[in-house]
Amino acid sequence: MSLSLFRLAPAIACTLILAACGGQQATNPENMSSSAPSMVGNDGSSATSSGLDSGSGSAAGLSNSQGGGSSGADSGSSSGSDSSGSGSRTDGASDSPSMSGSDSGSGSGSGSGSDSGSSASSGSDSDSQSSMSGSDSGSSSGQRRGMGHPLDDPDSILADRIIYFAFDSSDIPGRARAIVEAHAIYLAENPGAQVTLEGHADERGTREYNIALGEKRARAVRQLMAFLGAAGQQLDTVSYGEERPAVEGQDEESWQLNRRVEIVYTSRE
Amino acid sequence: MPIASIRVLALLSLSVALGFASGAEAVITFKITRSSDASQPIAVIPFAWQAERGDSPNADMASIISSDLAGTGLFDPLPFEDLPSRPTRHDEIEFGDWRLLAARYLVIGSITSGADGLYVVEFRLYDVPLQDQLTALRITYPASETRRVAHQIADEIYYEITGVRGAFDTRIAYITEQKSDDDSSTYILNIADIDGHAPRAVLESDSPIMSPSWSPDGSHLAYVSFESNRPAIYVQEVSTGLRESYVSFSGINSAPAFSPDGESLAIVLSKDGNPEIYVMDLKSKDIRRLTRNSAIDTEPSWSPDGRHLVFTSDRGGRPQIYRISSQGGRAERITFQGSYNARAVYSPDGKKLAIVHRDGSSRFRIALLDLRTRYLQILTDSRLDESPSFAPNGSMILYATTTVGGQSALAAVSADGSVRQQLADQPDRVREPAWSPYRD
Repeated sequence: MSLSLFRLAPAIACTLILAACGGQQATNPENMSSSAPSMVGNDGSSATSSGLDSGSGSAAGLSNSQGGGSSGADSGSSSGSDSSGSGSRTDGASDSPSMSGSDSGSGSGSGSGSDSGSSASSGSDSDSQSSMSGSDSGSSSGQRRGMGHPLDDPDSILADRIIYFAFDSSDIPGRARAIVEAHAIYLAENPGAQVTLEGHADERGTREYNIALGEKRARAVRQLMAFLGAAGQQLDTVSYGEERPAVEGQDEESWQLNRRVEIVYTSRE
Repeated sequence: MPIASIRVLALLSLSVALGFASGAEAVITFKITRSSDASQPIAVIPFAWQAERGDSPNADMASIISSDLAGTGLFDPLPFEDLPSRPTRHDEIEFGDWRLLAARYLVIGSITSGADGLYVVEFRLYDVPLQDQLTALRITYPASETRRVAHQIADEIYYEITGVRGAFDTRIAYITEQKSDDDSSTYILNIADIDGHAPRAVLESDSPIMSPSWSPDGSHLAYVSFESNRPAIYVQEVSTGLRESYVSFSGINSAPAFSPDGESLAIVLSKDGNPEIYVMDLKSKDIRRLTRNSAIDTEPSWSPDGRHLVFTSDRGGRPQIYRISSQGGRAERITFQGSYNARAVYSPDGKKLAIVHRDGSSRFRIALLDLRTRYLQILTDSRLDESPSFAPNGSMILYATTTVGGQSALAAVSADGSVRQQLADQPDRVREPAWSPYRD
């Protein structure tokens, strides 16, 4: 038997009901309970509430449409701790050059999830190539004092404020340790500075577990920073789980950018 | 032997509308995405409007009833266009016609206008082969309650035929996220009828809201809000909107779950370094720690008798389900199949757990674990299913899913896996459905 007719309740009718409902509630709330149950005469015959062998079974073969893309394997994949973290998070277009340079870990076309809007313009590609080299010198360690505040220097490693993680992991990848170390040193040298370490997870798995996982990541970064000389009162942690993704998208590239700890300065000196 | 009397259903009074219910919310409706072969054909005849004057109520009760019954997988309502006749009184029924159509059950009804602008609906349920009236009811109601009365009639039919109390006259709580043009989000905690109709916002926030949990009497919702920039637990009275910040230690305050007696709340706190399960007495606010180890322990859920809790822990390296006495003690691992099992909830009879299970192809699906046999049955088939929640009668499981197009949606699956429904497309992101208890 087809169930087609029951698939959708008539939307127009429903809207009307809602409108009527709202109006009455607002004007005359006490009237609402005035339902008067009453008896109805019956046509005789006896009541047999037959048990109905409920239709169970048939549950085995769960074929069905949905599904779609093959989600990336669970293995953490690269976890690339790319340098220009801040660039990769915000709306693509203009930032794309620096992104592509940095994001080596994630393999193919970086940042594809975000900057779809600019895709049509073919010229932009070459532009980005040219400017690529200038942007991230991820390993340059020193803080260039005299050129303004070190936290504002885009060429400083202190500009890198995001640590990326593998799936269901809170291990800080080796290449990201330099970032954690640089911030820990900055904090040690600037006792008045404070950071909040915001832990995040990708959308896979359950929300509460991801809150716990985000906190575990934030605490891992905190622990390493403390080990490297930052003081406990300079380090705050919070977890947003999967509630505040850096990028939308349901592929490994997006997920990887979302499994992160963000280092947020709440006080700089 | 004639029926001595006909049972009459009392309509409950409406809860008070809240101030910030927004009128522009999208109405969401379920559509069947997978149907069952083993369901009972039932003919629900459109109810006749029999008043001399006045307008008929707008909602089509027979459609609502049919849709409710179809969603359980136990019933297969005949399409209206296939009905050979539309009887509205007992003496108009040609039982032979309905037997030919293999209809096992027949529902007829009529609506008239009553006093004071109220409506009166009368319906009768028949066993077609026996030509027996199984039940009949008359209900007087205001127009605003039309949909609810239809759900109550579906409950009555369901109970009369299965012997199990129906759960259609219940509600769902769920979270939506509205993206605005400047990319900021508004998070809304909503309550709606079980078919997605009559949604209303009970909380709106610029910050994420998570993990709604009903009190056992349906009067309160506990949830997690980030409005203080940290996950903190609030308990809100549904009818008044009054709420209280319950738990706000440093670190995580999350995953609230009311105990079956309504007197305490299982919660997760990481104030001592990592997430642990606690039980808080709601009156005294005293907390009692249940778990103690260096791993993640979260997502507590009470057994219906209140004697145990199940929870998710990665103490073995990967998230798996564990069970612990509500008095504390040693935790016992429950799940062994697969590398990711989380967010277990007990079935109302306490015999099964619905869990989020990652299968061999790394997809997250809702599965049912039989606690006695340890048999794990996968119920759903998309990529990112989460937040399972049982109907209070155990017949269905509501959950959040991701569609092929990457949209979030609410869905429901019958507890035997035979029938799935999905909420029709809607503009907002939607997640974390929680099925309410019975309404009385």
